[in-house]
Amino acid sequence: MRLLLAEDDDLLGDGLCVGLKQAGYTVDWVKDGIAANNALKHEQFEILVLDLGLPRMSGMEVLKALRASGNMIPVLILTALDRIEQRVAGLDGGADDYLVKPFDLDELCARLRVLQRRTAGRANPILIYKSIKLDPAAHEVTLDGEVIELSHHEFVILHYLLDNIGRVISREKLEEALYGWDGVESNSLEVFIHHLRKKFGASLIKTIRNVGYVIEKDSP
Amino acid sequence: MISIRRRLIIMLLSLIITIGGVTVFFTYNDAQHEVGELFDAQLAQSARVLDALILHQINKSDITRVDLNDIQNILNHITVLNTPSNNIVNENDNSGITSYERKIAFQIWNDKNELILRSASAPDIPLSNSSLKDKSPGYFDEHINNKRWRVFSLKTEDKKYFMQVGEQYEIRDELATDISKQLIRTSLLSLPILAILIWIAISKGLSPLGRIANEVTKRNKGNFKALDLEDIPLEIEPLTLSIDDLLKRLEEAFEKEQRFTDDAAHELRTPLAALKTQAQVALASNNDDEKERALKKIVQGVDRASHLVNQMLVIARMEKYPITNQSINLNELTSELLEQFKNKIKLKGLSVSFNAQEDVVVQSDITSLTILINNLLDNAIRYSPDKGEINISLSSNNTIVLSIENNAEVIIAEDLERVFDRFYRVPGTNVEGCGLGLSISKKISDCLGIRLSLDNKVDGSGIVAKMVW
Repeated sequence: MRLLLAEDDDLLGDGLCVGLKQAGYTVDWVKDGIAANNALKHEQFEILVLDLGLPRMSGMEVLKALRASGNMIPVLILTALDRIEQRVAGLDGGADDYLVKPFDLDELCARLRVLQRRTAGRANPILIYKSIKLDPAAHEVTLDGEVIELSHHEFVILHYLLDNIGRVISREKLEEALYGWDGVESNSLEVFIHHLRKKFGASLIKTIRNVGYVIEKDSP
Repeated sequence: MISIRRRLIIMLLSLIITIGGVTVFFTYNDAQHEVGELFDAQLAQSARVLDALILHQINKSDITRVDLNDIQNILNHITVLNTPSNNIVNENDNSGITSYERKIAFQIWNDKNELILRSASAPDIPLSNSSLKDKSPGYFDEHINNKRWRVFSLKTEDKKYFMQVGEQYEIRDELATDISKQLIRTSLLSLPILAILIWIAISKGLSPLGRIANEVTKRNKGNFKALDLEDIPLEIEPLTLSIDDLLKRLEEAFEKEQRFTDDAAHELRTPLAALKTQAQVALASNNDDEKERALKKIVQGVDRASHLVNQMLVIARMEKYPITNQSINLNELTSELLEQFKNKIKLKGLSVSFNAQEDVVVQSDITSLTILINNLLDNAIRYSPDKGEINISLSSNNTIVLSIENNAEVIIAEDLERVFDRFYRVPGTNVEGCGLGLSISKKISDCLGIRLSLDNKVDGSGIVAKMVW
């Protein structure tokens, strides 16, 4: 799950980067509004954590530009400004949630999961496919009720494919979701897919040659 | 509280009553005069009628009491025709008012000053002594038995007799008084109506004030828009303009206050958020390296928070301690303080120059001044790029000027305006700080009477902080 973090404070940004990575996100971190705006224009993210007090271009301006361009990515505002009118302005400006500093990392992660769920149009936080159950909050996957041990990368790929069930996801997208701007290790994607097939059966993930991968819709 | 309405009503009514009083006074005088002229004319007429009616009878000496009564009656009802006032008397007569019935008295004297005939109403002494003595005709005012009389004297046509016709003033005064009374009565009756009309007019005139009060009262908190009222009278406009001006200044103060709380919230909450996040990262991590890294970040965060707390304490103390006044050698103080930054200067590879005139001494508070110069030097070094230049100069010509320049990035005008605001930080600043240093410096310089300014260098090569005594 690829997340863009826009936060100008070094210490807080660093903590969030590490904390959100622990929670299974692939985090890209920008420190000013213009960088955030550029990143959002040119790349695909699943979620945006946005500080309002950004230099060069304020968080509200980034948000306005984002919504004006028709990008409906879920946005969580993270800010020290807690007056009601400021919260209202943030939410009216197109944000999906608003969290005031100092916040609890676990609460931040929970809210992010709510936003993802809402975007995917599911009220149930747990993804279910045939006998596979994936719990994003617990970072846990079960097959026929038994817990399957997955590495972080394997979990991210399975989560992404289950989230987009029936849609073919390109290699590039999966790699972006895995690594963000940290760089790609060659062939590693194939290795993770291979591991997943070993754990859940070869027929779960289909390869569409020269395009990408897909988990097909459950035919009744 | 003063009531404009009450005050206006009292003033207007007193004015109206005063003017009314004066009017009545003059009307009474005028009425008396007009009535006098009219009655005088009638008196003269009476005399002439008397002359014509009875003189030949006196000669025959066959006047009877009945004749005398008839004559008296005729005289009493003589009116002067063809004078404007005449009509009034006629009208009064027509409307049946008989209170002004006249009582004309007459006396006829022979040339030996013997009274040969008088009306019943006439006294037996001459109506006018003086006119009788020298037989002079005309009008005379006389006092007889404590009553005022108007007398008209006339020689008869045959010059044998002297005739005096008179009447008491009483009737004239009564008529004039009645006219004035009528006037006073009308005025008094109209007073309450006037008061009500004035009340309504004043209420109408004051209604814009009510509308303004209403407009201001019903406003929500934080609504500083200019008053939007239609049909504001010319006299009220200065008030609404002043209110608008006040609202504008209030809005500015409110916004400034809000900016301060926003900045403070940001500067106080962000370090806490960072500390908490790093602590939670350390707690959640299974990886020792990651744990240690997060813990180190926490230490860093606590240092930053300590700096913030220290700066806030400086402000708190500044507000408490009295300012002393002593001679301070600025050359020595600046050099000493600069010495303390030796390590930082070396670490950043800065080149620092200090050009000073000799022995510049000021009268000031040593503690505050130390904090001030220390803050400015610290800022200059902190925000200077690596290997930058810092130029300090001290001059004492007309004024004493201590200026500190570095090669920091220029600050846009909008931010320059706010650099002295508490907790304000120029956006995008990546140097550690909490936005209090310059506001502390500004406060100290204000206390010490130093003009402190922060500007971009004219050639755009850096920033200059200037203290001017």
